[in-house]
Amino acid sequence: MGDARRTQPSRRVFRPRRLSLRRLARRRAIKPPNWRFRPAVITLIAATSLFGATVTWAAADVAARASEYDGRYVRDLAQREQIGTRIAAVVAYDERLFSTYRSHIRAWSLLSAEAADVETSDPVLFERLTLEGLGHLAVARGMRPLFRAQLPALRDGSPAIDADPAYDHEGAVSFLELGDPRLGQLDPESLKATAQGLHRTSTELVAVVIALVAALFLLTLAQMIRNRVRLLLAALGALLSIGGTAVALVVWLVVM
Amino acid sequence: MTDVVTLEILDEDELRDSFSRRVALLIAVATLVAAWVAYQHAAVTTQSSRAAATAHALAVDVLGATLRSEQAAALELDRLQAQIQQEVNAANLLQQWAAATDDATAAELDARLRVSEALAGEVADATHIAARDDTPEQDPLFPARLVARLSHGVFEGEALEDAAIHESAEAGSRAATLAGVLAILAVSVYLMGLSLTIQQTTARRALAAIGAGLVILASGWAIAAALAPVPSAETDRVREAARAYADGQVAYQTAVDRADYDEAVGHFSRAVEVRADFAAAHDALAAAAFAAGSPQHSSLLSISTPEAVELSTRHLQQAIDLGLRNALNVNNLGWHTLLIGLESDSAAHVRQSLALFDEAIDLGEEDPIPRYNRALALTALGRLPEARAAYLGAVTASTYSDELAGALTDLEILVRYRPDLAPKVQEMKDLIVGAFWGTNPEADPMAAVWALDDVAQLFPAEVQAGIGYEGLVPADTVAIIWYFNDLAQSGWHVLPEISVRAPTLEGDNTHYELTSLLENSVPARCLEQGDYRAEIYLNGRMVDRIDDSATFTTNVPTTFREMAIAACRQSEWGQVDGVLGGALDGYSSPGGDRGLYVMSLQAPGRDLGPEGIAAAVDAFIEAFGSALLPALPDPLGAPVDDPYFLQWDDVAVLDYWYDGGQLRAGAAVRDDVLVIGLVFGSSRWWETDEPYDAFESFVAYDH
Repeated sequence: MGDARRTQPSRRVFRPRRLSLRRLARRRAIKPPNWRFRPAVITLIAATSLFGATVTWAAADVAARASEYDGRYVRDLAQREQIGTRIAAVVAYDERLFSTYRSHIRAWSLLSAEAADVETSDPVLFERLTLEGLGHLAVARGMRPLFRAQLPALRDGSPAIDADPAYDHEGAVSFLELGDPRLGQLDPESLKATAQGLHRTSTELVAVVIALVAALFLLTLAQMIRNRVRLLLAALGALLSIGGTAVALVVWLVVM
Repeated sequence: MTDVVTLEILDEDELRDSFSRRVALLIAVATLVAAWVAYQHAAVTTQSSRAAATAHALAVDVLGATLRSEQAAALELDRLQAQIQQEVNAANLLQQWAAATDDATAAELDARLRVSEALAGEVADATHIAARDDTPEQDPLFPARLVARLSHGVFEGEALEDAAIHESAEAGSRAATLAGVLAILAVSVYLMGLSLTIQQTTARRALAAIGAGLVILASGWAIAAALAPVPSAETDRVREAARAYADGQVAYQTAVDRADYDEAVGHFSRAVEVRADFAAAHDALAAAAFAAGSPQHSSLLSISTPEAVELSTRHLQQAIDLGLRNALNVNNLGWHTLLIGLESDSAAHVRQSLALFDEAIDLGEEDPIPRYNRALALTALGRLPEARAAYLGAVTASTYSDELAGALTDLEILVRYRPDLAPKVQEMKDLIVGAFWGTNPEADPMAAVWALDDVAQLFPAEVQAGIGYEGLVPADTVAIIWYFNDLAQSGWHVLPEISVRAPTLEGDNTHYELTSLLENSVPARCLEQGDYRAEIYLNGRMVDRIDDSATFTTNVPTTFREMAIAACRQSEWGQVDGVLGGALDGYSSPGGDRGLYVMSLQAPGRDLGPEGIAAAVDAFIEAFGSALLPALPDPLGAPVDDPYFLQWDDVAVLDYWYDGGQLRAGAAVRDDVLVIGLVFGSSRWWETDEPYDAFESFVAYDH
């Protein structure tokens, strides 16, 4: 049953290495090769090798996707920060402008009140105070187009001008956030979670690759030796190979 | 326990033959290929890392550029503020000087006036805004042009960052492929090595053949990778695409009409032509293309031309394919698919759009827009109970009247393509109007609301609907929804700026709901030429409808913010010389023979009454008429019947005549300020509707 082109034995005597723990143990008789066993192991080796290569590729692919998500996470985070910075700058400008705007409105209001007190007693002073107040009001009106996030209410729902206007910081920020179409689409946390999941999957696939390599090791041993322990090694190898492939398939399907 | 396990290796002579030599050669080839692939792998890994580092550096740059552009914008606005302040101060001092009762005061005011004018001039020289077309008067979206212009570098940086991220991802993906190739080569070496240990001919040949096959496969893969290197992000073409993208963003963010959107489309098209994998540019191109074909001005667009929808859909799909699969894009793609489905009467497209809206809802969490769209798709498919539930869910998630307007517009689109669904569509409209603005469950069944006139009342800046009512209680809800269809008959769409819930009405009476489009729209706009329609709803049920057409040629919005006035003018009119900030402003035709002026005069504590106001206008015309008008008019104006100006009480409206022309002036006092608005032109011009339209366009403008 040997190979027809089998070469002549070497003149050097090759002594089988004893792996026994007991040096004086009885040497077992060499059994003829079992050719139904060996083709099966070889097939298993070939299949496991291909699975191993495929899973290695899959692990690398998933790792690349994870890196891509890492990049998108950083980009989204940077964009969100950028938009947040812009919004903060706009609202800060608005609030700075508002303090000047409010001081003009207050000046108009207080001068009008002072003028009212002297309307009958000193008409000239009344007119000067009122005109000065109206000047402040005109300046305040002129400033209104400069507000970028929130225009303070001029009349607050009534015909009279609101003499003590307020600026709603939170409302201004919310308005700008809602008005930015990109902001709603940025979700760095979700991208980070996806990247982490893919990194985990990649690690799991690498673990599967290790199992498949271990299976190959066991199957190779089973292929190399002739005694009955090869059955155990082959069985373990087959188990690892099939189990690893199944786990890899499950992990891959989950990722897909 | 005495059994000892021994592992015996095959004899050495069993391993040597000519087959072994061939396999050894293959192993050498595989090793060589592996070394080459490993080199490529190292190269693309380095490329990926370098591109990632570049992207991070650009992200930091963009953040810095954002801050710098905001600081620059703030500086420009500060200068403009100072300029406005000095100009208004000068105008105030001028008025105080004119009203001075003694020489000492006049001399003091004169000195202060000169100082203020000098300061105003100096600040104006330092302001870059005034030298461009991004002043509040010239930029309808002020300060959008200023900010967008200053943000050009930010947009360019974002595009370069995107290219670097793309390069990094591509190189990373290539590295993964090459890692797979290396794994295949390792397996092939293992299999070929193992084949040397096998005695059985078929088995060892099979193993060697598999190994050889894998070497060939891996070599082919490696050659393909070497022939198509990952393109670098640091090339002139990428920079050109970034510049085109930035130009497009500036044009898009300052766009107010179709020509502006067309310009943006041109820039974005150039960007994707130079860099086909630029997802953000495809996305922006899709948005700009849709807007360029749309007659709508609201933030939510539903209507566009078929060509624009086709172009927009193509690029939106590409943006999604390139990774921008987010709620907004999926919803928009669903909407485009629905439009195509309605236009081609394809139920398959409508069902496909429904799936996309479902996905957008999953991605977008609380966004009501895909919910409204889903309800519309269900209505189009005739699944009405589901559509009702979907509409109610959408209204619950809805906050803004823009969203309601968008939903009603979408239903109009459905009726346009499916007239057979008109009754069902009206049922859905009633449902969402009632759900959004509320209904009175205990309404008197005899309560009624109706339109007082057969036609709507249209003015250049405002619309008015007169309604009669009886049997109403305060809990009843009356709403008026205005629609517009342009001259090209692009499709009826709701105007959210003027669609309102009427104030509380009680008992039996009449009510005129006057709403200013000019005051409520951003950017400000006047009524365009086309058809207008108002639907009147009582407790979420349409009870009446009125229509009319607008043919105004005075439809260019003009705001005088310091004087809290706005008006509509003719497109060829330009701003007059000698503007006094906060006191006098105006626009006239190129020949100066027609135009309008607004004047604001401080009138502290003066309860003038209509006669006093008329006298003040006479005095103003006498004092300034020769400077402002082609000729000095007669000193006394003729009061018009039933005077109306700015919706204010105690107004005077007077007609004056001068040689070859006429003017009409309206005046009223508000907040201690006398406001005068006048329109002038040749006598022949006054034989047309245009001067009357211009005069009727004056509205209070507190923005």
